[in-house]
Amino acid sequence: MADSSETRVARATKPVSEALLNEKWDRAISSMIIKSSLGLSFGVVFSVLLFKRRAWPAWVGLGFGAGRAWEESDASFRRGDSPVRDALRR
Amino acid sequence: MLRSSIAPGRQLLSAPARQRIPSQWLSKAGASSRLSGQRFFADSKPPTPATPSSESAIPVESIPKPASQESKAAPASPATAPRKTGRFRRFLLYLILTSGFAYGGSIFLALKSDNFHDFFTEYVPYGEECVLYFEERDFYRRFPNASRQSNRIQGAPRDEGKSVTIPSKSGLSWNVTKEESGSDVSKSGPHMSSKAHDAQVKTEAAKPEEKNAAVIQAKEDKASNDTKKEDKKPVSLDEPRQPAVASSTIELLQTQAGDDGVVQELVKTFNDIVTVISADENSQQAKEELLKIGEKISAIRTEAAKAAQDEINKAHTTFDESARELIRRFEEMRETEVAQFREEFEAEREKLAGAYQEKINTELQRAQQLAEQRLQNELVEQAIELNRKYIHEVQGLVEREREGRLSKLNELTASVTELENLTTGWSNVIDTNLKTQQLQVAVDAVRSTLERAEVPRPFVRELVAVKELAAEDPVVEAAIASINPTAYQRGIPSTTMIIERFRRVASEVRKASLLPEDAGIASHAASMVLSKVMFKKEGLPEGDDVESILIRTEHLLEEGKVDAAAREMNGLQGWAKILSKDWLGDVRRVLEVKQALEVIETQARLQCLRVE
Repeated sequence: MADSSETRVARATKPVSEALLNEKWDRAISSMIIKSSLGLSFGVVFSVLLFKRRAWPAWVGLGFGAGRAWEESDASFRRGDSPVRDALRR
Repeated sequence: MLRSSIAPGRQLLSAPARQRIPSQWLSKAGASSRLSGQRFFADSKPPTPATPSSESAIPVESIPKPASQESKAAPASPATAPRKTGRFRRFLLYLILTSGFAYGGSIFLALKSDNFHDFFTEYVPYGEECVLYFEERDFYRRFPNASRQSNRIQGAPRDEGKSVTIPSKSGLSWNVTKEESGSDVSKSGPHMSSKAHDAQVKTEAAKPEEKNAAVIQAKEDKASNDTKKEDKKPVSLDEPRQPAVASSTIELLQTQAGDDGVVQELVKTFNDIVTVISADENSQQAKEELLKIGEKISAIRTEAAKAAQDEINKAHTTFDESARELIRRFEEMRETEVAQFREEFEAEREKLAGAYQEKINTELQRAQQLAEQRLQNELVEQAIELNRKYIHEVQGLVEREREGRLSKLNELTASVTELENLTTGWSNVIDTNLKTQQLQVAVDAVRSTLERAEVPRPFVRELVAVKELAAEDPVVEAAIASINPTAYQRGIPSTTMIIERFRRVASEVRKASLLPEDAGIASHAASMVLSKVMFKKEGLPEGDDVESILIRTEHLLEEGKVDAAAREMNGLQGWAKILSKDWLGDVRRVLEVKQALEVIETQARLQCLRVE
């Protein structure tokens, strides 16, 4: 009981220093998936509505999403030991 | 409504004003005659001259108008020249009349009031003369004798041909014939003169009416005197008269200077008669008659003189009496005054004496009071001095007593305190021993809790016990203060836990061991992948790279040198340091606690040693 409560408290305030990179990786992967899927869906919608079901708008949307996620995670890695702050997640 | 009521009023108001102006103008221009003529026609009556209408400013002017009107009405135009002369005459007449009235009135006023008199005499031509004339007239009316007297004074030396002898003291009084009368009436002369003189003095001082009366009286006196003189003269003439009978010439009486006018006249007539009779040779009978008359006159004179003498004597006596009375009254008054003054003086002296006495008394009282006060003060001072001396003596005695007998008590108390100190010292020793023992027990309890714990557990209670037992030992206090509060609030991990955690940390650090300084996501991924395929080092490698440091630390931890391991890990750089930060913090806390406990233990041991 005491152990769990203490760990919970520690977790709430700040991640443990050795788990810092792992967390960053978690965030990066999840944002990558979400943003690329969002871009893909936008691209599909555009292709259906405007581009007569061409393939390339879907690819472009996917690229947009993936690129955005990449950039974000890159920035978070570069920032060092500061905890991740994601607008989408929190 | 208002306007309608005002409108006629305004007309009424304006109408007379408008009428009055021309009417005034007409009257001024002499056209009132025309107006009166109109009235005359309307009334069919001769116009009343003195109608004091408001328009006619001068009533005098209205008086002659009807006449002129009539003349105008009757002869119409024929005589303009006569009318002119008539007018001129009338003008002259009025001028003279008005000026006469004006002068008369102003003279009257000038006689009444001084201010107007000044104004009139100064500014009006011939005013002064008129006023002077009237004043003179008034004066003469008041004093009818004034002119005659001046005549007499002028005429007297003219009448007298012979030389006049002026006595030495004449001039002071009117009586010139003093010496002559003195020779005749030796007794009454000076009194008379004095009386006359008194009268004169009175005249000078008295008012004009009184003056008149006095003058008249003086004249009467003089007349009587003169009659006397005349009396004397025929008497003196009696001796040469006898031969004069033979020669049939009677000597003329001579008037004296300063005689009364009546007497002079009488003498004159008598002289005339004498001359007439002497001229007539054959009127012997008349002469005799005359002589008889002279005798009679002389007899009358003597009688009169006698009566006068009596009267004079009487007057003298009354005067003397009155003088005496006066002197007596005066003296009485003086005596009363003297008495009064004396009384006042006595009263004043009494008052002064009383005042001085009072002052002296008060001063004496003051002096006495002062002396008493001073004496009292001295007494009080002496009393104070005595008291002080007494107290001093008592104190000295008490002190001596104390030093003599009570000094032994001091020694006793000193020994008692020594004993007390000894006992307290022993009790202190025992107390400190107990304390140190307890402290050691407490520290042991802390250590055991730390070592026995499977998971980190707070040890606040144990530490509080230690602190209480230490009882404000500065060293213990400092040692406890050096411990991080989180350490005893959350507890510290045991050594095994630290090693376990180090294993986890080490794997993570190895993953990030190949990262450059500012690494992005790509480099992180690369480092993760490449760290898997890296070879692990064996033994005790030299060098600063992350792998060798990790291995060395592991070795040290296994040996149980926690502080050395911490020092090794502190040498990491970059991401490796960041990842191992929490582990390092834990290790430091553990080390701190351990150090503090060691310090406390040593302190307790030291205290034990110190006591013994």
